[in-house]
Amino acid sequence: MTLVPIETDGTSLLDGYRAVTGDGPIRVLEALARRLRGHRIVMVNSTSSGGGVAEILHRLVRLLLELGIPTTWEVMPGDQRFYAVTKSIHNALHGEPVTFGANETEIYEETNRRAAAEVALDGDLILIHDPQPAPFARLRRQPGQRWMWRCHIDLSRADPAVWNVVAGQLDWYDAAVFSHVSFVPRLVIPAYLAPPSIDPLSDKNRELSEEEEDALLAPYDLPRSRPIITQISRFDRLKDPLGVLEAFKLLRRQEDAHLVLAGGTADDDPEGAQVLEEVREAAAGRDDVSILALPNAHLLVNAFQRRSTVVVQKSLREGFALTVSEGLWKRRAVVASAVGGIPLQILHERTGLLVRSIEGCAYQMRRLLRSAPLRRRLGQNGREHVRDNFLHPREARDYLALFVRMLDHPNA
Amino acid sequence: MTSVGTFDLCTVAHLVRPTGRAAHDLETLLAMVGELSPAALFQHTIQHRLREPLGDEVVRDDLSFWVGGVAQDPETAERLAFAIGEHSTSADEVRSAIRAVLEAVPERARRARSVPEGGEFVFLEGESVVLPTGRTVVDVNDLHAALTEADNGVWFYHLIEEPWFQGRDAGLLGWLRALDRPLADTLASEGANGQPLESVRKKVLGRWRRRALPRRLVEATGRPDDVRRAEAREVMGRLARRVKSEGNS
Repeated sequence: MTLVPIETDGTSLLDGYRAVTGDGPIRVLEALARRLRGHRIVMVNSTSSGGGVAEILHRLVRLLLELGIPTTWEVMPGDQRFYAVTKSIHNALHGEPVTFGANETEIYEETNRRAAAEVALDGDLILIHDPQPAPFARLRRQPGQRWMWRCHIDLSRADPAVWNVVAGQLDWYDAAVFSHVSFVPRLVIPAYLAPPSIDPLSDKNRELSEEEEDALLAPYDLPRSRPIITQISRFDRLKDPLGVLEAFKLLRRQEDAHLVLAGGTADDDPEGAQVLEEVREAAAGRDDVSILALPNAHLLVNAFQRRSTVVVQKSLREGFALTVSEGLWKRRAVVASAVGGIPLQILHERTGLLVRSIEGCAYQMRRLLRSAPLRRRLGQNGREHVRDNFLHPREARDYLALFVRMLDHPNA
Repeated sequence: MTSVGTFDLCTVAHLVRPTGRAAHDLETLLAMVGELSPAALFQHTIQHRLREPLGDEVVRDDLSFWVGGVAQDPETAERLAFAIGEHSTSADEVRSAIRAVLEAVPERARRARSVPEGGEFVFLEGESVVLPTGRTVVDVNDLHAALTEADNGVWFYHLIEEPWFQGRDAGLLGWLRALDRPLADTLASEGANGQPLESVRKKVLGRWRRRALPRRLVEATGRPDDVRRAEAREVMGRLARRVKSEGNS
């Protein structure tokens, strides 16, 4: 089976989003849906579970169906050899060195040929996600169809040889969509930007009652009397947890606070385990720092972010860093590095504070701890900024607007 | 009364495309502003009003935000922000205003204001997807009712984007001008003054209501007593509900 069944709990997503965003954005979606009447959308990616793309597709497809647009979601079938190859492609596009030769190219091509024959592409608007099924357009494109390729990956440091394998497939598309302008490579087709988004109705972002929050955080024994500063990120050098710790040590010369560094468990990531160990070592003997290898528990992340006085994202390099939008959505004061997609989310001094150094991070954290009105102002502005720009209905709007554009201007 | 027909209200969704151009100091910014398409100028000097529609504070355009925050030239940033706010009614006007501010900075200083790698100003271009809302207005009063209910996209498109690209005599403002010129001018100037969209909405609807008061009073005096009493009761009921809800909140 390649068709992904869309689960629904009987509630209306449209009503849920309307309650969060207000009527305006939903009316725009409805206007777009009216323009797309008579058309049929097919989404294709390589997995129905795990990862951000699958998460958003579950919501997006359900939302489009509620809007009255016939939409299906197909997952391309593959085997372990194919997944090993696409993992290599993924890593190479992120700039990591990989071995990728004729054998890998052949597995990629052959699996796509077989998968493309199995998948039902019975729509006229096809949205292909990421490199795995990119050859589908070349293999299956029919007259009258519009094909869009959605790249969720940061291509700014892509290995040119591997990128060429993927780029060679894009001539058969009408347009490509990227998360951030710095991720856009040279292309012969039009490129558009659509930042990723968070789901305000998900466990990671929904409102929590104080009782829920207390129950979730009880096992972690956080101090009630001190402000909490939190960075939630993988234990990865590029997320700079050691830099956060250094900034926190500078801050503690003058301020009372407790630092939480929390990230996913690192079982399948040898470097992550090493970074976690280094951070633990650097914080050894401190009772004002909690270093937590969290399970993949969205509610827990939600509770940590909500309990925080300041949320930090002091990355050295970033893709889009949706953890920033998650913090802003919870009205937290956020201090974050001016890298990747973060400056789109943090408008300096308006929705949060941007930093470029350890000292800068310490200074801005201190400013925030000392001024509740500043925290409130940034937190409130940040929430509104996310409401207007980084929630799922906006991402859905971008895709639908692009479909309308492609239909209106087929040769754009 | 002039008969000018009906008008179909639209909303808008914007797609954003990279232009492939980037400025790394004030000198390249000046050169590129001269070559930018109207859609790119619109994206960087106007579109932020839809991205950040709330609040009473005037939000900075993308260019002055970059000049102040990244190129670290607060004085030029101030001048740019003011110039863009003052001349935000067409591409030609805003282009000239930006160039005048940047040309006033000596060339050596323009080149000295360079940014580190990764800090470049990357020019984007908007593409508008204009969408009928399905709401057709027949006269000024009907327009007031429709705009009271309309979302930010409708306000942005008809009061800001449409006149910017097509001139004040086109679209909704053109239609309204044939019916009520002073009102059309009010809408045009409020739309062009750089305020956040929510403030524009509040001001325009407030002025519209105040403007309509004398007419409504005259109309009311001509109605039968029982109708006026019923209306007065309704108004008092609304006021009581408002006072009660404010007391509860």
